[in-house]
Amino acid sequence: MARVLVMIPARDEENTVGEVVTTTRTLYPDFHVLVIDDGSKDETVRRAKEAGADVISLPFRCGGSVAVQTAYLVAAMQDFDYLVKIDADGQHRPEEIPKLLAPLFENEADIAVGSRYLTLNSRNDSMVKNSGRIFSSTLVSLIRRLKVTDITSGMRAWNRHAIQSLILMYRERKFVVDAVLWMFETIMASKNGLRLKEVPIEVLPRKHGKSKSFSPTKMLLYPLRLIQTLLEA
Amino acid sequence: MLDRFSLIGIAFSILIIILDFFLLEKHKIHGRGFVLWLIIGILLGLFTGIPPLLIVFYAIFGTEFTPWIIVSASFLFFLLAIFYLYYRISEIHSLLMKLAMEVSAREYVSKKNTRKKNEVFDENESWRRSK
Repeated sequence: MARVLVMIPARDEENTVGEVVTTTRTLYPDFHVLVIDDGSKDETVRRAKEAGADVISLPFRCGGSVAVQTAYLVAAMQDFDYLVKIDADGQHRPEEIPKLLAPLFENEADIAVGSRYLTLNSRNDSMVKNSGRIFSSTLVSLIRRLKVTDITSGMRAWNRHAIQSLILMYRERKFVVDAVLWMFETIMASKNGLRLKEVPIEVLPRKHGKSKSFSPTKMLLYPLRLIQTLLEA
Repeated sequence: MLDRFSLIGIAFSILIIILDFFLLEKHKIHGRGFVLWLIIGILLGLFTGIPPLLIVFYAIFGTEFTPWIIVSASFLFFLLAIFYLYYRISEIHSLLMKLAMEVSAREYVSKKNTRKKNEVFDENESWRRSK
């Protein structure tokens, strides 16, 4: 039986993390659920533990990129076959995890990416956000000759081969900042011969709090970030 | 023919740009830092290479000044020092983040293994006692 680790990076998500963990554990009792707390100041850690997840607390607020890379290390050290990432804010539906794992189980891909643009669900977001995502996805697709529609999607799954390759790749590089993590990883994965496949997912609107990945400043800096990622990768 | 002041300014500008590209090629600088220092290098080259552009500053500050050798030399070295510090801080930040993830992952895995060992020990102990 394949061993699957579900990672849920969380920062100040006390209102939703418990529900996400409970749903995941109920749906997939054999999967291991790991919450990576990025210096939360609220009850996130307690709620995650109460819901039955293992919790890693980062020593200080390090950002989502460190949280994700910590999960890669744990998955490699504990010999997991597959790693899945969903958000703690409840926007990703744990019911869709099998969709992500299917191409990995069937050895069709090394990395599966959930795309909100393969369904008609993208209307949840503002036009500016959608335009940015579509522009960057198209640009990377053209440069790397890939078929990517949602390059910033954080609902992903990796197989063991992908995890090990990515760990090595990140070790050789400078630390990658949150805003461009997925774009950078997609480019590097394709350069390193990892197979990517997108699967349609539904992204729900946030029930509580504000998005940490988008702010007016971050949106203004986005074109610069895009150039930065293309230069670094 | 360019003034000596302009030549020195252009030389510093080229030095910053070369260092910037070198660090990018070695993956020792973030793309953001690269773009920032590339712009600084180009601006430095432009303003020192084409001194009439300094009229912008005359207009902004409402005063006329001539570049004084100590001030201009200090400015150029100060710029290089900031460039070096920027690079060092960015490298230390990168190492710190990598250390944070490595420590967190190892701590968790080691706790997990200890817990597993204790569980096995407890099972063996209870089995022995039952015997």
